[in-house]
Order: sequence, then C-alpha cells, then structure tokens
Amino acid sequence: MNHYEARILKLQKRIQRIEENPDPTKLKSNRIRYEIQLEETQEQLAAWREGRPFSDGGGSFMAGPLARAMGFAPMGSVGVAIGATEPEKYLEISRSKGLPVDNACDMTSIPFAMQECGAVPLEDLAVCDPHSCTVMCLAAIYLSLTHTKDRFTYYLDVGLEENEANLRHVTNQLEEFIEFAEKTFPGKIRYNEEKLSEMQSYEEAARKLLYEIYELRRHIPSPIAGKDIFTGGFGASTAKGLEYIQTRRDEIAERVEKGLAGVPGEKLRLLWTVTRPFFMDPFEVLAKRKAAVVFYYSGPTWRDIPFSRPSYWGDRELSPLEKVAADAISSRYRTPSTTWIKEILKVSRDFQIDGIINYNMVGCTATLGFKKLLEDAVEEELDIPTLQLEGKQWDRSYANEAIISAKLDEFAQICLNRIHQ
Amino acid sequence: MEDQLQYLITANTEENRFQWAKEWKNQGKKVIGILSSEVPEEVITAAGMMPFRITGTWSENISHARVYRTENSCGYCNHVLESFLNPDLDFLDGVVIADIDQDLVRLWDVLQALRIKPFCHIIHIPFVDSALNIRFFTEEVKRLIALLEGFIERPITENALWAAIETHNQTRHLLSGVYDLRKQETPPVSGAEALGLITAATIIPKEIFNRQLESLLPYLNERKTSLEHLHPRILITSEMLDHPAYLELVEEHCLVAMDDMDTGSRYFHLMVDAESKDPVQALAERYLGRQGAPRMAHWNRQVEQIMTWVKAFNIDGVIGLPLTWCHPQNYRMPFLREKLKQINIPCINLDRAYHPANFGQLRTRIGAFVEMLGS
Repeated sequence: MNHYEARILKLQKRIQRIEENPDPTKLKSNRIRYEIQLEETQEQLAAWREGRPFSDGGGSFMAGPLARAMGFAPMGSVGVAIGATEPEKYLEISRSKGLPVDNACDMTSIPFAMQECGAVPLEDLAVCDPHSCTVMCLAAIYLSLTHTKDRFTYYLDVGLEENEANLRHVTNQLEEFIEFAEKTFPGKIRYNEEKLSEMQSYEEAARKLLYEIYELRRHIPSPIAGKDIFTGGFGASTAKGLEYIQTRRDEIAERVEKGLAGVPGEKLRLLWTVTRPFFMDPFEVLAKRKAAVVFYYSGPTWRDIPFSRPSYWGDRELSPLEKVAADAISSRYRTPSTTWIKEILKVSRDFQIDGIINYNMVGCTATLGFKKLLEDAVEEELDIPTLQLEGKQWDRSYANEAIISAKLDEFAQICLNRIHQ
Repeated sequence: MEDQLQYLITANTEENRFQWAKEWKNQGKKVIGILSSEVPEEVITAAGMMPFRITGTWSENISHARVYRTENSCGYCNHVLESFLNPDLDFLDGVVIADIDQDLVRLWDVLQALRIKPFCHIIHIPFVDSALNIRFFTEEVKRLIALLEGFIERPITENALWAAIETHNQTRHLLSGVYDLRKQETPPVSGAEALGLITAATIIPKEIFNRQLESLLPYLNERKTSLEHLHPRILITSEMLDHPAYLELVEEHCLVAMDDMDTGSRYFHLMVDAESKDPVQALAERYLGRQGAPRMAHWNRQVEQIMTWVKAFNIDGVIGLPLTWCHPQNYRMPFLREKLKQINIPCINLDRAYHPANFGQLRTRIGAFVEMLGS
C-alpha cells in the first residue's frame, strides 16, 4: 500500500469516527479539514495513476499555488511527512543512503525518503530553494541529482531581504520557471493566471477570517488549546478551504460566547514555537496543571496574525506572480531573527502569555541560532520565562516522552510559581 | 628562504594571526573581517581597507559562545562567536558575512543583536550561477560597495576596483603556481603547509603576501617535502578547515596532494575576468562560477572538478573531513562517494570538530583507510 492509499484509509476512518461518535470537546470544523485532506489525497492518488506531472513548487509558501495553477498535482510538501504512517522507516531509508538525518530536522528527511522508496511518486518538477531551511534545500539537491530520469529541477534563489530588488528577482525566476515547465511538459502544463488569481482571492478572504479568529482567540480562557492551535494555518486557496476557516471562526466565536475553554479551569497561557514532537501529545501533561498552549508560532504561521506587512512595493497592486514572490521572500525561516522575535513579543502581549516553550529541534539551522536572543527579549520585555525544550519530531532518541513530559511539567510549575509570587 | 616560507606557513597560528592586521591598523587604516570565502573581498581592498578572514579560536573552551549557540550547530560559527566575545577580534572595524547557510545567518543575527561591530553586513550569495542570479548578485555586490562607501565616507572608484582585482588575481595566480607543483611525485609542500599558505593569503595584506610568495617560488621549485610517506596520495574535501593539525594527522600516514576546500584550492580557483567591461559583474561571475562549495546546487560540476583533480594530481583516495554539523558537506558526501566509486577512487567521510579534538579515533580510522588503499 502506498502512502496515499494508507492516508485515504486513515482519513476515511477518522471522518467515520466523527460521524458515528462525535467528541464534544473537539472542534467540529476538523471534519471539514479532514475532508479537504481526503479530497487532496484522492486527487494525488488519481494523478499518480493517470501519470499527471507532480510538483509542489517548493511548498505551499513558495511557488506551491503557482504550480497548482499550472496544472501540477501537489506532492503535499512537509505535510506528507506529518501524515506519514511509518516515519521511522523513512528515517532509516535516509540513513541507509548515508545522509546525516540524525544531525538534521527529521521532518526534512521524510518526504525525500518517501520518494526514494516509492511511497509517493517522484516529483516530476521539483523546485529547490533555500527559503525555509538549509537541509531541505540540500535534500532536494541530492534528490534532483540522484534521480534524473524524466524528472527535472528548477533552482529558485531567494534573497535575504524583503525589498523590491528581491521581489523582482524572485518574480523573474517564477517567469523562467513557467517557461521551463511549459516547455518540459507540453500539453500538460500551462500557466493559468486566472486560476492563480482565484486561489489568491480565496487566500485573501481566508486571511481576513484568520485575523478575526486571532482576535477571538485572545479571549481568556482561550477557546481552543493544544493540538487545535496547530491546525489553524491550513492553506485556504479553495472554496472548501474558505468554508473550513469560516466554520472554524463561527465555532470559536460560539465557544467564546459560551465561555468554553480549550483547557477547562485555565491557569496558565503558554506559547509554543517552531515545531513539536509528533510521537506524543505534549499538551496532556500541561493540561493537568491547567496550562493551556494557546498559540503556536512558526515560520508560516505569521500569515494568520494581523501584523502590518511591509509594503515595500508601495501602493501599486501586485500581479498574481508578484504575490507569489512576495510570499516566498517573507518566510520567517529565512528572514533575520528580529522579525521572528518581534512577532512573538506582539503575540505574547496580545494573548497575555505566561511562558514560552521554544522547541529546540535538533539540527534546525533556521531557529536554534537565536534561541538565546528570543529568551533574552522575552525575559526583558515581558518578564516571562522560556523553556528551551530540546527534541526531534519523530525520533525519540534525543528526548523521549518521559523526558519531555518531565520538563513540561516542571516548566508549568515554574510559571505557576511566578504568577503566584 | 626556508625561514621566509615558514613565516608564511605559520602566519595563521594563534600567536601570529593578528600581527599584520594590527600593523595595518597602526597606519590608521581599517580592517574588515570576513566570514566565508564567498565574500568578494576585492571590494574591501578597493575601499583601502584590509580584508581579514576570521579564524575562530582553536581553544576547546567556547563557554561564552555556548550561551548563544547550541552544541548541535556549526562548529566554525561557534568558535568564531567565541572570538568575538573575547577581546581577540576587537581590532576589527567591521565584518561581512555571506549567507552560505542558515547557521551563518543566525551568527550574523547574534552579532547584530550584540552590536559587536559598527559595520556588520550580510551579503546574499545565490546558490546557482544562472544569468538571473549573476545579475542579482551583481546588484548585491554593488550594494556592499555602497555600504562600504558610506562607512569610509568616500567613493570606491572603478579604477580602485580594477586595481584590487589585479592584486587578488595575482594572489590566485601565485597560489595556483604552488598548487601546480603539488602534482609532482615529491611536492615542495605538504598538505598542511599548503593550508598554511592559503590561510596566510587571507590574513596578510595581499600586496605583502604576493611579494613574499613570488620571491619564494624559485625556492619552492627546488624544495622537496620532508614527509615520510609520499603514498598514497590523498585529496581532502572539507569546509572551514583552518587548523593544520588535521592535515598533519592525515599526513602521518600519507600525502595530502590536493584539496577541495574553501581554505584551499577553492580560494584561488578561477580568475576574475580582467578584460570584462564591468568590474562588479566580473566579480559576480567569478564568485558564482568558480568551483563551488557544497551549498551551491551544481554538485555535478563540483564532483567533475574533483574528478579532474583526482587525475591531474594522481590521487589514490579522497578523505572528507566535514565539521560534524556542516550540513552542506555531509549531504553532498554520499553523492560524491558514489561518483568516485564509479572511477574506483575510494572515499571516506570523517566528522571532526572545528578545534583539534578526537585525534585518537581519527588517527585509527585514517590509518585503516590508508591501509585499505595500500592493499
């Protein structure tokens, strides 16, 4: 059974379970999210069988929407890794190739290995770019050079700064990418600007709703917590995606009105960053202390937050391609850490956060280097503590359930003590 | 002449490293530290300043840097930060970093946050040398020039750029000449000595270095290395390797005849086109077009170049000495190893620390590899 078949079964079971035995503590909108995931996975499986070309465009926050608008089937980017049913197997495959997966973020090694072993198809046109992390870019280079038969790679360079020159640079490359893709897959791939524009208008509508959701979530007690906060930034470039966000907004509003809390009896409000261990539920142990994780901040999640975006392009309306480029160069994994820190400080103030859990993902070159800067800024400006929690996403060998639980429990206790001082 | 040669070879030792920069400062001139050989140092020379490649402290104790950086991150960045946090690098007037990977970007973040230097710039280096990227990088170099002009409060003229290019090309030409001599059965210098010469070129004012090395060439033509083992002949591939002890360790067993290192052949590979119309574009073309670091995407070309060197330098085996947390080097290695296997060149990858460490284990593994080559 390939990954898509396994995932379809898993999602169907999940939806069935919700239908037959709905859990009143869970968000009802989750069902729509699972349906969207199911439809996308079914589309991927069908595309694979039909021989339709695959391309992620470097991920949903790079040229992903563009690739979709050109007619490519989506690989699912790192979402594939999150949904992987056998992560340990894929990590082992990467190890067997001699790749240093144990020194790197394991999320980045899994999609590569899934392609290697045929769990998902080889991406027909990969976009290799350094926007989100050094290791992902390197894994893509490796894959592009070791699997060259009938597959292609476009190397998309992204500068460091959010400015007009970088915007032009990336837009020029996107135009080159389109030309290359259309020539490489004649008759199958064609850039459809109208479609891209339509997807972007859904995203823009969704973003307004996400800003509303942000305001609703500031409520004390927090209407949602734990795992539910990790699902908010779901891409909404379709009508159904927008419907999901609308339903989620309505539901959260209802919870606020009724005074329902993600963690009943909430005593602590925590912010979680970067990523989390997927081999355990780290929120359970916190909930026992009445500690609610009320916000998750990471590279892509800033898009769901009402920050004023830098309008370095002035008052002019960006073209659809320029919008893709502007999104690509705004990756918080790529920009200076001051952006990341500034935004965490804003969210922490808005949400009256009592403590921050900064997940020190082993080998994460994008975030480990500023952990102390974040901790200092948070301590100095907000007078709240930060837990530097070391671990990986699927690999338990660095820090297992027991270690992580003990550290989280101890941190919750420290935060509670500080509040009561 | 031997004294003069040793003077250059030992220039980058901890005792000697800063003397030329400090003499330069005593003349009322500025010194700019550079992190990574990807920074087009010609523009610093053209500004009348001295480019100085930063070597991190070789001490094992990096307790100050450890506060900011985790153990599982680039050792070079960690040791460089330690040097910034103690008085070693106080003499620098500024620093220019290249964003060759995120670890360096995050190091720049820390230097910025701590306001270590009044001039602290990070330059973007595209990871492929397409026409669009060369154009963008040309603009990046122009921006660096403009920032330096603001810092020194005077313009950097085109003539000054051409003069700097000529000087740096001369350095490349001279070092290339030394490396050509390493093709000999008994080369004039060992691998560790060659490393000393390259790192000397990065910390001594270029005109002084060029004069010194030029006068040494007749001597080097006659000199024979005193290494005990001239076989097998090894090519080392590594990044940020600036401590000669690692190569001395390898040369306990064999000869390091060639390298693929930023502190080695890559430093002088490819001249800047002095016939070009635009000096800045010529710089951009050289820096993106030369033998690339593994963070550059064209691994095929890099490996082809290594295979060309394997033949030209009569190499028997390749040893990778990556920093443990150097992702670019470690990700390229399986690809390189596979390609070398196709031409029957054995290859081994041995993780190392930045400072001299774990020599016992390394010695055993290198010894076993060399023995395997011999059999």
